[in-house]
Amino acid sequence: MSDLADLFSRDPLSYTKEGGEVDKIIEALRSQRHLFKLGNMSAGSAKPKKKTATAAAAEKLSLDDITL
Amino acid sequence: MSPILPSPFNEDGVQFAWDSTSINWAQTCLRMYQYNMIERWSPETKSPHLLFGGWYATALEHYHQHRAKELSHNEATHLVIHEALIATWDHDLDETGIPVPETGAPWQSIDNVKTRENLIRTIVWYLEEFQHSETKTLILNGTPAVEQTFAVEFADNLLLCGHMDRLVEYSGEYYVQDQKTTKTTLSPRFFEGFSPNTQMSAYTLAGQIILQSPVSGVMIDAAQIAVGFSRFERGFTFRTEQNLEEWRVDALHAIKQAQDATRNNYFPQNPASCHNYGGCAYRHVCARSPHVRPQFLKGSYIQRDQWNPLESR
Repeated sequence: MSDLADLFSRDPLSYTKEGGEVDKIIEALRSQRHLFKLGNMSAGSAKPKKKTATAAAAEKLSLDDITL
Repeated sequence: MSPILPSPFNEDGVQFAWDSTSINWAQTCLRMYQYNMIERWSPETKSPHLLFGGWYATALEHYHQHRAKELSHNEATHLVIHEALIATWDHDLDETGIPVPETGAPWQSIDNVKTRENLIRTIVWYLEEFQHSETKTLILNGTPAVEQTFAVEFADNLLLCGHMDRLVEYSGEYYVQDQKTTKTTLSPRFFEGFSPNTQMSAYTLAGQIILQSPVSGVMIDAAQIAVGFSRFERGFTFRTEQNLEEWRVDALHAIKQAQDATRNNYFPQNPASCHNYGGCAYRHVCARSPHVRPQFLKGSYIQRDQWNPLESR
């Protein structure tokens, strides 16, 4: 779950000043708006972003695979 | 405990306090007016579009109130976003109606675009888009003209009521400002749809009565809500004095028809309106034989609180 999705999934009455949840949400959404203004029409989508094939393959790598 | 509101009906059961919503019902179809206003029927599920639009308008109204109290843009944004997040979480309520923390769940919209996440996104993006806008909130009797609930006499023994988001000055003219959300692409055609329009004419007329000055029309800040973005356009709908007088006379005509229908307990259907704008919420009732309608209404609709134009929103 993305950081933004995690924040949305939590009870907003549990947010604290120290936790800064509201400001984190606002900051994330402002960043999305910036990307939209640059031309990314799905910048504001709440759907989880699909992993690229490269990213998915990278997750499977382990240092144990390296033989020196 | 909620305060007891005065009734919008007089002692004869005839409506005397009207708003653009009830005028629209009367102008569209007297049977729709009867079901909505007199008998208080409502579809069981509240429209996600009404919920989304209501929360959005409230957030922006409260933002302008905070700014008028000289809070910064960031402070005001923080407050309204936290408020909107709480409003869109279905907490259990204690015996005094206060939300109980760590209960409930986030509002789940039945619309795939007008969702909770997209609501919060739209509020943040709108406030970023227009934070340097040259519109100035008017001050009435020392307070900002935001969330203006009005009830003005617009004919003998008839009140025109409503709730305006904001009264503003822009380029030397006065306007009522209103917010609209839509899933459609914003184009000149979108804004053309607001003339003729009962709500916009009512706002302009009421604005003039309240300000005792000419109001040019309504500034409409429209938000297109899509899956991956929210986009904004500002448009205007203008009214001349002649437009307003014509609207007033036509509205009074529709009101008189509704009042006569109430006195005679006869509310004819208007079959020409049944399938407009996605279809009337009661078309399935009217399509049935009259003798089964009472049972169908009880089985498929709920009776809500009285729609009351005198209520502050």
